[in-house]
Amino acid sequence: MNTLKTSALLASCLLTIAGCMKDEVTLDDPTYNRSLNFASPVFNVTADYVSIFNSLSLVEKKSQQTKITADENGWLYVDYTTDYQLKWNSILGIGAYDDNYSLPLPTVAQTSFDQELNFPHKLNSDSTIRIDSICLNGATLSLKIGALPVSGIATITFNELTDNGKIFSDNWTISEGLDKSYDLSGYLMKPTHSGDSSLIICKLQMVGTCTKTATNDFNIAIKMDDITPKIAFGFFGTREVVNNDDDSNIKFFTEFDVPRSVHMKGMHIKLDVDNLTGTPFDLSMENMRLVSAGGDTLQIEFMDSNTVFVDQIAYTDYNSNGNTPKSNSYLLDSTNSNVDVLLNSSPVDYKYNLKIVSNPKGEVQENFITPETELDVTVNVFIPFWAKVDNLNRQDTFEFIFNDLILDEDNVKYIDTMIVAMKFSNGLPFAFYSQGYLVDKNYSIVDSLFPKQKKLWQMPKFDKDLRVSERAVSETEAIFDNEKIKKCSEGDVKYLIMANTVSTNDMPDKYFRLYKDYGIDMRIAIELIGKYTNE
Amino acid sequence: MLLAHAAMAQMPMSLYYMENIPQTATLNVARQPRCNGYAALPGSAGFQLETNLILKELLQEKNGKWHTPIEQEFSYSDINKRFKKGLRLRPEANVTLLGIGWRSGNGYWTISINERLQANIGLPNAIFDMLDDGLADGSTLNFSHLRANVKAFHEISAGYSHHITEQMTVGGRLKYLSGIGVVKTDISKFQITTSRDQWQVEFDGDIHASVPTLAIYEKEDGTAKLDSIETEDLKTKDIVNLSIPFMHNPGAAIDLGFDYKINDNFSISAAVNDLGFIVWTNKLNSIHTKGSYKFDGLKLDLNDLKDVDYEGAFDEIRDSVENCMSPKLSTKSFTTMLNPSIYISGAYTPSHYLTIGLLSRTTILNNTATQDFDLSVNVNPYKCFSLMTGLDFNVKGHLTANFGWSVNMGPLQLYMLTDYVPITYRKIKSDDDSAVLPNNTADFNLAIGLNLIFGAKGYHNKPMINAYSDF
Repeated sequence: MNTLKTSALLASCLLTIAGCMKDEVTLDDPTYNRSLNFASPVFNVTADYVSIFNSLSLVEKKSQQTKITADENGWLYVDYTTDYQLKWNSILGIGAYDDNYSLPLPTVAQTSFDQELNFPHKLNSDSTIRIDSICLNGATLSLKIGALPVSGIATITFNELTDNGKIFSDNWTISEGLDKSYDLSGYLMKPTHSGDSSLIICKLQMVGTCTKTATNDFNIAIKMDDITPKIAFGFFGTREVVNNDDDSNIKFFTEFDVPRSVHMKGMHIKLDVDNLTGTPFDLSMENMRLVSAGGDTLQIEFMDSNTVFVDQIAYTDYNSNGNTPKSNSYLLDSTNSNVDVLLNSSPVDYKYNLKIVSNPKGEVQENFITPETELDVTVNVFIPFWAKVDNLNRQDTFEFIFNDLILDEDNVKYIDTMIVAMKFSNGLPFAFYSQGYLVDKNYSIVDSLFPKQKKLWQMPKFDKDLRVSERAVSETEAIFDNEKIKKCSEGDVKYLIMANTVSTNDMPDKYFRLYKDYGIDMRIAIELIGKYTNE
Repeated sequence: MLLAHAAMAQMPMSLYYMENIPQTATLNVARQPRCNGYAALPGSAGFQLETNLILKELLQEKNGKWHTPIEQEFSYSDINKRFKKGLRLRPEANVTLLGIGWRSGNGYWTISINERLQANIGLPNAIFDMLDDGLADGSTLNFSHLRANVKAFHEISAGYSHHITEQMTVGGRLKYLSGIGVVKTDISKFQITTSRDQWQVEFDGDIHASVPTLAIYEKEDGTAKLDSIETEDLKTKDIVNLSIPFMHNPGAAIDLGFDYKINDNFSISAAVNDLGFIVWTNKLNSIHTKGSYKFDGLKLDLNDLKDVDYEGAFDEIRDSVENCMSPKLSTKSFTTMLNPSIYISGAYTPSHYLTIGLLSRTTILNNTATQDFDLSVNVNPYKCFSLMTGLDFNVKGHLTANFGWSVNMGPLQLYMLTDYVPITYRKIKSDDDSAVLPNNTADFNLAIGLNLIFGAKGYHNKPMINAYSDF
């Protein structure tokens, strides 16, 4: 019994101790309210000078390629490149082969009938052209020959068409006539030369006995379609194969506010020709005009020949040297024209005719052409300039879609501050100032990215040759407090107008050059500071 | 003997001296229950959760006001200082399918079949640092202490204790183990650094799994397809295999113990339990990953700005992370250890119905150890009733109470035991509500069971009831 009392006493002691060791705490309706801090890099942009100019849309891309480039000496060029290509069907002058004849062939019943008819066709389209042979990759010969009341056989022959040495020939019953097509793939067409003609002769022979008197004329139609050569030989004539007008816009001059900001060095036009055909050509720039912003047309005068000759490749070299073309080029500059002077008019458009003449020397020689060989012509209009930029101002307007791009609308209330941190490593020889205006739909300013325009890119360091030797690193922050975030999120801000200024005024020599290793790295990070709360 | 259900985790320390509850032998195999035989019955349940979170730390006072973990004023850094590495959660459960025991001369046999679960989950301080500071500029978050080691296994054991002399009793228990499933992480480095300039993720670690339903596919280069981890439906054959011990993932363990009676009133005893391992050989998926990934922004060329494919860019980032981490898949077998525990006890028994004991328990897990002390008073006043109460001391100074009782109704015995009963608590009041929160309590355990007791009078010289006592 004593033990029971002892244990009961022990238990009650413990409970008493527990009862004494009690305290009381009052909570004021706790709600979730914790940190929502977040910092992360977003973009890491690398850009060379070419991408910067192109992103500024200083050049307008048309059908031809337009780019800004620099030579090894750092001169900057606006380079308008136009490519032309001459294929075999522009070079090889084959006339259409679609001949129709209607002949009165007298027949008398119960008499013998023996006729041999020749239908020659001039294959060359021009008397200066001589076609020696065409190995046909494909062609279709269609023959429609009328019937005669003659019991006997007709035979048609083209001596100029052979297939592995076998002359093309076919026969049929004269009384039934013929309406048939022939695939001439793989045939060799070797015209007969007669005077200035390269002839294909259709020979028709009919032998039999007349059954009655013919009442209609004898009709014959010969047609050769889809002639494609594997290779063609001959003399393809001295003739103008292309006279191509080209018209290009030069947006660069108006965008760059020439001549106030940029100083031109001298314009030149370069014409490069690669000839893979067995035909020589002359190429010339003719009737070149520059059109000013006011619409005035200024004619370029050539003080010297503006023609470039490019020789043919020899057949023996064809396919044996990896199809190395015969090449030549022509440079139009201030030494042979007034193009340099006219450029000072800040043209907005240029026009020229490109004239291409085959076998320009007129000497009859053996040419050849295949579908795979062509004449490649590249016309480069180079507009080089000294870059001296005295506070060039430029504005670009962007649609500002804050909620989709930056912050979800529902999360705006949790963000006290948003910092867009930018870090630049500038290796371009000019300083860059920027201010971003947040504007409403009426372009009225609602707020701005920075308190005032900021110098984002510092000038890099230069060596004694005025080349960039050390990039300039700079950092800046665009701080959005909750009020500014709300303006952006709630639709007050529709557009972002970036007002940028480029200047070389800090440069020792204000005229800069751009080398291929010049560029800039930009890192953009975002930091959010706030609290998530369910209040 | 009868099949029965009883559920026990790592049993409460308060069980150690309750000799009239047969499960006392689970803590020290040398200690023989007083009854001559027993069988566990269905309807029992048990669970243990050990953690280093002290409940009173969930409220902090700043400037005269109390704050909860959801408020910015609540500083996790204060808790992290005590956590050192992070929050630790160690749940354990043990369900006994069969439990029988009987006396044989000077010996006592016990046989049992158990279903066991052991888990060790660690949440690193970095998780709570994130709640304090977010992913701010210049943050370094160290998740290296992240761990999730969970294993479930069958256990079949046979134990025997023997009175060598009048004073000395020794015992041993052999256990055959068969693994059901495991997930084990072994992370040596997992760190995320955030700043405006760069995010960097560094990882070096292994994840081992033997989970019947888990399917991880392999790329041609031998790395794991992390985006194609799937769970498969269990087939009948799998369910049968999982339900029957001995089929897969073999293991073994041993329990050893002794009990030495110095004289009629004083005794000492000690035991080491769960000294064993499991070799996992079935349905293996191990991933080893070592790598570092840096993100310093979407790389763009100014020429391509208009054509940026942002979705594609994020896919590229994901691919880059995978490539940098190059998670290598393997199906090599691996071994996990059980969590051994060591009990050392000294007891004073002034009479057969009263025992006062001091018990030390050391639990070893992954090269770390937790230490508990238990001071208890065990009273067996009647044959039909036993009572135990006492105090637990955590080595870090937390003081809690323990409590246990058993009631015998004929051969049926019902018992309930628990350690870590809070003795101090805090009343929390808000506008409309009030609640009581224990103060120093970090851990929790509970064991409830039903036994059929045979020969409840026990030893002829140590009966459950002394007819000549004074009550």
